[in-house]
Amino acid sequence: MIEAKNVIKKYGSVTALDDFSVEIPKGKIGILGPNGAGKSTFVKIALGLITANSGKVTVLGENLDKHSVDIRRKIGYMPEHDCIPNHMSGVEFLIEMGLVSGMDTSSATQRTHEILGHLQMGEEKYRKIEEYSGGMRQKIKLAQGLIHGPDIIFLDEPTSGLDPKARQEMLDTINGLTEISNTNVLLSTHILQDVEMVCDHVIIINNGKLQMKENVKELMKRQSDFIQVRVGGDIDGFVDILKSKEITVTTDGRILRVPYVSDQTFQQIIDAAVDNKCQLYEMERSKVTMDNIYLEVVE
Amino acid sequence: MKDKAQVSEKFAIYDAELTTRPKIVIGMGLRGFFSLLKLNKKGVWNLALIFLIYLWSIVFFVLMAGEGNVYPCEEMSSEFKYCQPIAYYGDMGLGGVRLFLVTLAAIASGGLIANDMNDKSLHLYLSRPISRLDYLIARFIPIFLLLIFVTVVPNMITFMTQWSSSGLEFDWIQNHKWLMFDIIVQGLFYSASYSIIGLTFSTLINREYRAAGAFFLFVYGTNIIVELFHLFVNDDRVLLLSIAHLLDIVSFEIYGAEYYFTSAGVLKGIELANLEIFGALTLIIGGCGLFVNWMISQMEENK
Amino acid sequence: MSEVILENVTKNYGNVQGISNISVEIKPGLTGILGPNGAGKSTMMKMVLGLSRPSIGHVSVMGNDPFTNWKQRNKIGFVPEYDCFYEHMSGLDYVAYFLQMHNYTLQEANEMARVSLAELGLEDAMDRKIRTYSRGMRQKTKVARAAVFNPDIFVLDEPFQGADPTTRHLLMMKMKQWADEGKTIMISSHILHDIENLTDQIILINNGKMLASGNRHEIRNLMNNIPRQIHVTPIKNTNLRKLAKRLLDESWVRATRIDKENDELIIETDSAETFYLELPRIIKKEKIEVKRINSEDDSLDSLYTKLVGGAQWK
Repeated sequence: MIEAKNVIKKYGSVTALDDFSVEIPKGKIGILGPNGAGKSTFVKIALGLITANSGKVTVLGENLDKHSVDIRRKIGYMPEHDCIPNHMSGVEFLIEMGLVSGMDTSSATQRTHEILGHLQMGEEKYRKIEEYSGGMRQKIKLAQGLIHGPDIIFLDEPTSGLDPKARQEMLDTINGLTEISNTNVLLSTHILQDVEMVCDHVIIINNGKLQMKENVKELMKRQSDFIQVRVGGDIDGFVDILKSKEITVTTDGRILRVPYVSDQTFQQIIDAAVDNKCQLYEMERSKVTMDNIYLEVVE
Repeated sequence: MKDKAQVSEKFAIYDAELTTRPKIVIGMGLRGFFSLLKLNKKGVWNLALIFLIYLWSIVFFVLMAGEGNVYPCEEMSSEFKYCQPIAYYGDMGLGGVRLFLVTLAAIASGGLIANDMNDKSLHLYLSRPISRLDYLIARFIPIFLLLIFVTVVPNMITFMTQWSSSGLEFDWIQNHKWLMFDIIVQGLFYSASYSIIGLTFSTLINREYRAAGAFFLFVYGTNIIVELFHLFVNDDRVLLLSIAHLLDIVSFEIYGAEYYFTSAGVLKGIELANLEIFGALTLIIGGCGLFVNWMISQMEENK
Repeated sequence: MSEVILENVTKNYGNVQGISNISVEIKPGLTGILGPNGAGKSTMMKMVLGLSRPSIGHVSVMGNDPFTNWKQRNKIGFVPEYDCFYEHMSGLDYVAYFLQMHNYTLQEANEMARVSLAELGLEDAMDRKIRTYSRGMRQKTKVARAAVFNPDIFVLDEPFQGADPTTRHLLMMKMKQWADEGKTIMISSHILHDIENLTDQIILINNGKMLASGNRHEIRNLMNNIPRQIHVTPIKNTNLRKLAKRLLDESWVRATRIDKENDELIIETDSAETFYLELPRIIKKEKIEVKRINSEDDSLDSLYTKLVGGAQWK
């Protein structure tokens, strides 16, 4: 879908992208990386807003050197910061955005109402945007990126500043709208759980270089060598029983971590719980989380 | 939860037919133009000023060219006579029209780019399939059309009136075709120049009303300072530093006429080389264009 | 000592409700304060900081009323949600400036600020102007400014907002360390996962009212009107049906369902405590080896949706 080869981009003496190469497959891709790692530079180059000092970028099979403006017919962009005019109504704004993308008035209007319907916005779509809640503004921002039916949409921190419910709604909306319309997603975020919930693939950029490109499902299948256990009642007694079986348990105060040797370990934990007459709330081979992977790769 | 069953087929296969870039830009420009003339809080002022300009032009046209008017005149020579009231009316007519024109240009252009920069929707426009230049043209069209509406159109009306008062002879137009051409060129020139300067202020100061105020003060402020300065320095090149004077000088050049202006109640002619005049013009307009382009490119880079 | 106690606290701004009748005791350690935007989290934090006074009720911080005992304010470290910088200052000057306001000499102030900023990983950036800082660095500077006074109580309003995962991790480490040192830390965040990583102790507010407070697992136990769903995965999937049948014999099991996709058994129970106590025994007796016992519905996410989202839970 997007291909970059040996891309170098410098701002004065600062190198934002340093011999950066990546091949991004179709689907939903999360881009992770620390602040200033080159994520947004890469996105801006792929949008054709800035050009690289050297290297080759192809988006949807088109070379960006020649078609940097026209490529944006097939791309939608949802910026991070608040960037929607307050003095218009949601409908007016989306129609304007559709027209600026090159749609004609009637299909822009039809499409606007269709998307707003999917975003579950009712009468409030005719009200001025300044009266909208944070979650609604964010939805309008998403809608303007999808209005012209792009093949790819870039989402820059789509959930920043939203409360948990609005965030969940936003992620559901992104999933729903893009899955059905078969839109490819490029999601740049600092919240790693967003990537877990939305993306098929994840790439990590650091210091202007590609650090990792993996399938999210594969990553999430990785398991660590610990079983996390939570018991009620007499915790010390439980730990002692395991100790007598030569199993050392570590704890961070909330959860016990039992080293995994074989599937036999599970039975030993259950036996210990029965012997100690305590509740066994939780017993699970602890999974590798996106946080662990990210920190491992970046540091 | 999102109900997936709700998402219809139509949404899934949506494939927009997108028009070409020029059409997008013209469409944006025309929508901008009509929104300047809308009967809302801002549009009312534009409409009022347009009305005022027309009224002013007609009143002074009637005062100066009305057939029944007899003014006391001094015979300067056998061909040339100087009529004090007509000179006053001329100055007031032109001066007034220019005052309103600059005000109109200021309040109409102030918001064009400033509003986009202020609410940051500029980023959204730039992420659309139009280039930076396309965007600028789209924002130039509304103010340009509006100014044409108050420069070329009233002047052409005057021209037509002259024609009809000269007895509707086609010869008259043929004999004055260069005059008609000059009227159009001069109108376009004023409109374009003030539009570009207006857009520059709109970009420089990203608050609509401040941008409009700054534009107005800049044009008239430099005008006054330069005229005062001219009294002491007595070098005509100083006049090129004032936008209003520079544009007037150029428009006199368009008519092929000698430029003169009233300073401290005295009529003064000037002597300047073409190179100086057009050099200054290119510098100012070109500088404005480059500056706006640079500002927007900065916005592009910094998200 | 470093406890925060709110007793029947109500705060109104004119006729607008801030918080209403909240009574809670916040003990040393980490406490997550959760709720939608505008729920009253910031109002509650302002009370603790002594920036505003409750309309009804009492607030006590370390045994004193924070509004009148303003001298103890440097014992409370506050990280506001919004940026409050002098952009032209360097991070070092900024932190030192606040120390100087509290009668430290310039030299002491600089020394202390340097240590505090370095602890948060800003060694290289502390001499640069704040204007050039990224979001993550700004958050770290704000935390450093709060921590430099070595306060007993931290009030952190959205400290992770906009920070990248590395910064987030570093800040969390610091917070856990402070909690271990016996400090009281109140922290609000919209990212429930972050709070889940940090602590089990939460306060949930909505519409100015407190919906729940305490350990999240205990909170879930109290909500016994909603049956608990527990996922159990046997090592051999042939045992799924056997286990399901066996469990249905027990009076405390409401329903069992086999999820073929994940080879797991979903058990619904009204009496979770009995279930957790009895299940290991049954497993042991029936010799069904099990590799996973987990209840996703006492995760913070599902707790939040159940309590805040009303009827719309999964």
